[in-house]
Amino acid sequence: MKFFSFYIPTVVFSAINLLVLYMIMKKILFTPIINFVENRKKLIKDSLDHAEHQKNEAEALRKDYEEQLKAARMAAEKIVEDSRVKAEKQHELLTQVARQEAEEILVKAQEEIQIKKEQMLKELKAEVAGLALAAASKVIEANMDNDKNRRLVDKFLDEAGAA
Amino acid sequence: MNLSEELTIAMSPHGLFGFKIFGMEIFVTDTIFLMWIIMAIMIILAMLLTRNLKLVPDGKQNAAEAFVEFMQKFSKDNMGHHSKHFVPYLGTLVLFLAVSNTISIFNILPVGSLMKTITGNEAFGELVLRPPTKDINLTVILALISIILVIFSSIRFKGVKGWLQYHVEPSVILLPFKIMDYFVRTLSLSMRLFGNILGSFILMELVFAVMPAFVPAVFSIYFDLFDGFLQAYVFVFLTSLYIGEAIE
Repeated sequence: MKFFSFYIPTVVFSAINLLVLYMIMKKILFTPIINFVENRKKLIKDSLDHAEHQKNEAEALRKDYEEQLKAARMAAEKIVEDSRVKAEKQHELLTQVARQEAEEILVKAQEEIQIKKEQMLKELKAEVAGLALAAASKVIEANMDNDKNRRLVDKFLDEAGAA
Repeated sequence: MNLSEELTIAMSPHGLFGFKIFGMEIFVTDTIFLMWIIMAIMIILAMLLTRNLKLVPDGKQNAAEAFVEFMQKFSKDNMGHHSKHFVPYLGTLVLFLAVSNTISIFNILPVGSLMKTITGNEAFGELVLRPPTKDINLTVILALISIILVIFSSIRFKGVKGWLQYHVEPSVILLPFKIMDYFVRTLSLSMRLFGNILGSFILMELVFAVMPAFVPAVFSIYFDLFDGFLQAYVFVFLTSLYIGEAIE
């Protein structure tokens, strides 16, 4: 057979070979790989979508919790504030009551002092009168000169003034 | 036997065994037999590569996926949106041509004598692993299939009317050229492949005859491997370009 000659059986056999090879390769190599890669792409896309969805959900949940936390914190602050105000009011009230009581006590004490003072003055006057009487009787008893007499009276008057 | 006679024998296809149909003796040539070997290699490789596909690919699955995805991208670049129908054929073609063109680097394997001892057929003694694409009968049918595929895909995706219209666009003057295109393309596809592979084959045989050691290995890297892969790529690239032009 010459190297540059057409030989129809070779052409026909080659064509059959190529077609058979094409069909086999398509069945065992290309279709499985293409389908497999396609499926894997879909799978990856699905899981990515799923992850994205879950992330969004978690984000929403986090925001929700944050809001709840904020509300709770505000409520707590309000409670603390309220109780502080209440305590202050009570404190003021108590202070006022105490002050009033103290003032009352003070007033009473002053009144008492006043009463005592007046009493003492009364007693003192009685005493002075007694003394004056005694002194007068003494003056009368003794023969006293004018000078001495006057001095006595002065002294008495001084004493009375001092009391 | 001198060198030129040896070369002529090496270059020529020869019948291995024959059978009679309608009184005609039909021979199965070594081209066909080599095709069978290459098909067997490809099918076994494909089965190994795609056995139990896993979600997280390992080495061999990566290779198969990378090849298929390369062919998908290649087809999409050259043919646009209908490209997915052509991926299996173009992929098969490029694999077949790449193995065919470079199979002579394994010609040290004693396939011929092995077959001779198995079958007892004397004709197998001549069988050496040579690229089957150096036989013009194979390259012609490859080119014909490509052109038939171009015509069929054009009719399939644009309808008979669209396909006929393609010949008179943008002007009727182009009609003879467009018709001539089919023959020119068949001729150029088949002759380019045949000439390149036969040429590098002859060159390698000559180099081997003159300097049997070391030097052929260096030349083989260019003439067998590089040229073989390049021609496989060029053939598939041109086929995809023709298809892309016909279906756009």
